[in-house]
Amino acid sequence: MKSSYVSFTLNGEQQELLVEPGRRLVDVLSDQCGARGTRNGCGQGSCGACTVHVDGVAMFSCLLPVELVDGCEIVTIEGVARNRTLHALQEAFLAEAATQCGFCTAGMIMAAKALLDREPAPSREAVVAALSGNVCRCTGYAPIIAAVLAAAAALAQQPAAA
Amino acid sequence: MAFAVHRPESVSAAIAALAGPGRVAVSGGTLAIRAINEGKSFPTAIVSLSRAGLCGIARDGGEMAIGAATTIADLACPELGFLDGVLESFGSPTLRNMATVGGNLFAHQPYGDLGVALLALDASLTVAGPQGIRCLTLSGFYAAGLGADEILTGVRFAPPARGSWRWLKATRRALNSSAVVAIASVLETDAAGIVRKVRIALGGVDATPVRSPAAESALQGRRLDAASAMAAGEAAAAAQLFLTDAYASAWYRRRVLPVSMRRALLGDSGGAIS
Repeated sequence: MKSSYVSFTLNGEQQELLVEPGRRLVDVLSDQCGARGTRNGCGQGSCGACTVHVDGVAMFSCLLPVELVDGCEIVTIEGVARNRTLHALQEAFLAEAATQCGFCTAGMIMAAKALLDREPAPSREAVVAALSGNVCRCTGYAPIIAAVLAAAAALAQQPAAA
Repeated sequence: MAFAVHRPESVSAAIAALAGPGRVAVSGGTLAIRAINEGKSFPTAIVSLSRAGLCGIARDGGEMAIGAATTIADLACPELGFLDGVLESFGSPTLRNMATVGGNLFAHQPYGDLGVALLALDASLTVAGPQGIRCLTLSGFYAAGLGADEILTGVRFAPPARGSWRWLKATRRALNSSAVVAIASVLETDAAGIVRKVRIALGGVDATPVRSPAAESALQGRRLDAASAMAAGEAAAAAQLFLTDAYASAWYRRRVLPVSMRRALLGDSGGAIS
């Protein structure tokens, strides 16, 4: 089976990659794009560790053959900070100690960002629902939920938040 | 393992791409790609339906017509507001962004909540294959499946009358949890509170979503109240085989069904329906 060229933007940068057929986006990000923040967890769409944004929509990159994102705009955890400044979610995860082993963190932040992008002032219930596809085995979730709420509050204070 | 990826831009191109051994149609990928990741499926090629023109929700006469590749997330629209409870209980938000209406009908129970809802709505399906287009009922689909060379293209149903829709999914956790039992119903009563029309579908109980004729006949022509709703649940439980899986035993599902039926039909309080 032949490799083929796939192009997409990754965190704003155009990528043109020769990919073996049927490779998963999660693997291509790590192996061919050097974007190693996105974690490969369960391979089932159950754990959320591989969550990325495809054309602004949160998706599991372990369930996406890379050919299917040809022409798409991909945002990963590496694209969340801007100009070497952490995003409010990242700052809040640090401040609230919302990360321990760190395996779930990239996916958690991408799922949380999907929520805040469409609902800037979510209720606690909305945060819990938004993170229901992301598993954390360390924190017990409370600090993560607190961090997302803190980030929403911080973003509300910023004049023109990204 | 390597497999070729086809992205046909029409249904006929998709059918052509499916011809040949080892070809699998993929819609959202939450079932088919998962099976590949788990080493349970070994296609030589997948045929993605994402660009085959099968996304969309339209009103067609008295019916809603929904393309098979429409995502679960896209069902959150004003015309389908009655489905909000189904959507909220369906997997996680990220999963709903990927999983599709057609794909969900291929989920193995206790997954496949949308199919439970569509069965209660008496939905019909359109299927395209090398021989052309055919229609079949959802229960016919669950009984016989599709040919390997066929593609499910759409789902149609008449929206339920205002106030007639019921949905309850009993789960182990509040969110992102599969059904212990799921109950969907379209139920209409007359001015005296007598049940004049009722369809009840169950999920989490059998290999596919099933209608419950026993529960329906227990309610038909009777006043809808706590006693008749509970009796319908008992009748359904008595007539039904139950699954045992990691989420619940058959014993537990049988115990949970009657009270879930009462709550589904009458609300948590067992009283008035909003």
